[in-house]
Amino acid sequence: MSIIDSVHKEGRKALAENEVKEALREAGIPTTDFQVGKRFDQIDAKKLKFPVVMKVCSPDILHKTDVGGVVLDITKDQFEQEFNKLSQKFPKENILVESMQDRKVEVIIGLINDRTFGLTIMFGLGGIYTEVYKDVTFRVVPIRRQDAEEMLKEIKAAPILEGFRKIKLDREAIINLLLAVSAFGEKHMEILDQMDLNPVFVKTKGVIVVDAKMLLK
Amino acid sequence: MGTVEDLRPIFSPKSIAVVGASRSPMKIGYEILQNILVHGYRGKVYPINPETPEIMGLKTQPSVLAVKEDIDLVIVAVPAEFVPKVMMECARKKVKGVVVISSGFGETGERGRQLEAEILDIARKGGIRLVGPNTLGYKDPIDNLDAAFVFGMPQKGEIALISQSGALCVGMIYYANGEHIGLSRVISVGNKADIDDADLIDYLDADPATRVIAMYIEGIKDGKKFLDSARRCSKPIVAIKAGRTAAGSAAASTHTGSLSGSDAVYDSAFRQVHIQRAYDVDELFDLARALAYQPAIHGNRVGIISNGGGAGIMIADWCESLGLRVPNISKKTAEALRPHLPSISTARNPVDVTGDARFHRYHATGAIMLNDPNVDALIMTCVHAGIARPREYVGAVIKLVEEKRNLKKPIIACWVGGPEINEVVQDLRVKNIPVYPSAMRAAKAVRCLYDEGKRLELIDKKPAKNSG
Repeated sequence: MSIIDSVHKEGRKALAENEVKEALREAGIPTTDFQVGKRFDQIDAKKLKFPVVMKVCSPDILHKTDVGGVVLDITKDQFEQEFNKLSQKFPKENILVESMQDRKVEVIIGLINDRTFGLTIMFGLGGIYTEVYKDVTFRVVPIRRQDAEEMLKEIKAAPILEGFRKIKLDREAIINLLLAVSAFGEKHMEILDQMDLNPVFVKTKGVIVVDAKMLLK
Repeated sequence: MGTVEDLRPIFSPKSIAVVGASRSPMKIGYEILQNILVHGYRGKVYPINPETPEIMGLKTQPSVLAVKEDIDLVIVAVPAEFVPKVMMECARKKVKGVVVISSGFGETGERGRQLEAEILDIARKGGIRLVGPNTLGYKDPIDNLDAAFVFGMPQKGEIALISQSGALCVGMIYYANGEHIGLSRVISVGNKADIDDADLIDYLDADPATRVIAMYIEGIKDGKKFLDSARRCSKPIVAIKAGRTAAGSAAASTHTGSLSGSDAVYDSAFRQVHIQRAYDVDELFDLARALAYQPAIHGNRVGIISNGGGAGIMIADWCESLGLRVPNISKKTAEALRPHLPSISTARNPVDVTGDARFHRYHATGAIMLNDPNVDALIMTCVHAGIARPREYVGAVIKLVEEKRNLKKPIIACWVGGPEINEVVQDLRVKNIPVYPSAMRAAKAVRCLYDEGKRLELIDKKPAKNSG
């Protein structure tokens, strides 16, 4: 059984970040590699590439930054001290640790249940400008390749994805990600309420989901 | 049975009963009966009224059950609380379609919603298709059937109009008449309890009299069904979706939630199935007229002819800002234009034929630009420049449209300047040549033909199966 189904069976509506990422990985959607634990000795530091990021990881905390639950750019020397600080702040919760990622450009991909059209996929440029400019576009799920291509062209920031100032980005990987998210949504349409993949880092080669939220009906 | 067969008895009835037909000119039932008779409907008409023996020279019957012959369509214009009883009688009579004009249903509150559910239930169980309730009815200028309660027939044409608002529907008919825009079928859908926009798209797609479907929409109940019909439709659809600014955000626990005001989703969903969105009545008909009477294009390069530099520049600006291009002309075209232009004008796009041009200069430069393989569409503009000859230019446009039809390049006119101009361009309107009073509207017309071209390319590529 997929993670989503078992969470749904529990009667739980929100998934923790590690659960969302596992569900995405099951569906072939690339996410950051992560480790999760409540205690420092549960983390295998040898497997980490520093600097790392640490996040409180709980189905009950959807907005991690708002509660001071995210610490960025932690070096090997600071690791143990910072981990313990965060776990003392959230003693009941897991801490998720993952390597900091290189980014060229951040995008946001989401799913929402529209009351008229049902499950709908959103795409836009990520980061702090998303909400200010509302530079996003939608398609009703399922989408075809043509739709994904149009979504990339439709946002105002489209030139950034087309190699503005010679920044090379993997457009093909974004298109494939949109198709994969649409297929994911279609598969779980009955129980999925909304989802954010935010941010997704787009690189010269490939894309990677860095943070993700998911709510079930 | 498919939707098209289901809806035919409603929109192409062999017989009509009007329940609530009345001798009182103040009653809606009077007006409907009058309109049916005035416009020369050729089928049987049965006024239903238990209290009056005869109306407008026709013998009445106390109920549909008293009519001996079969009835295709029943138009109901009695107060809402009596409609369920009428519907039961229609079901017993095995009537195929009903138009419920009466208001006082889902649009009014809880009691109205219950009544609406009740009549829908009777219709479903009785195998009756239902338009409305709370509708103006419909007007069919092609088959001369006016089954609506407001007087006035649209001009015959190729654009079908579906409206969720009855009052605006009448306004749009008069607007279209004023613009010499002909309509094929006009349907006020009302509360869409049963027959909805999707059903009508299916029906009109199969209608040989309709080339373009124009819609005024406030809300759609079944989004998936609507998108499936629009996607299947072989004809272009232009739609106004009103209620854009209502705060329709879904529960905003995610960014996606807070960003997805319902209008943003409507906008994208329309684009997904290639519905062209209009934002007002004039724009709805601007686009519908271009789509009905000019060819779709697969390139976005616009040639412009003007008799005044300013008009040409404004059109060029609008074209570029709408994603069209105003290309440089080839050397060959420049050389061909040269002998037709006065020495003060340079042979370039936009072509400025200058204020003293007469018929020949317009016609010759227009033909040369249309023949340039780098030009996909032509906008011919005229400003009332005092010495200008707007009537001669109109003649030049008409001649070009007739001569160059085989090139399959749109010719759009843009005529600027007051009442005199408005009178002159009637000649274009009568011939269904799109003419607009502003650079923006002319450029948008070309853009919609380009979007239609893209829609057609995708339809051709689409595998032959219906989704959904």
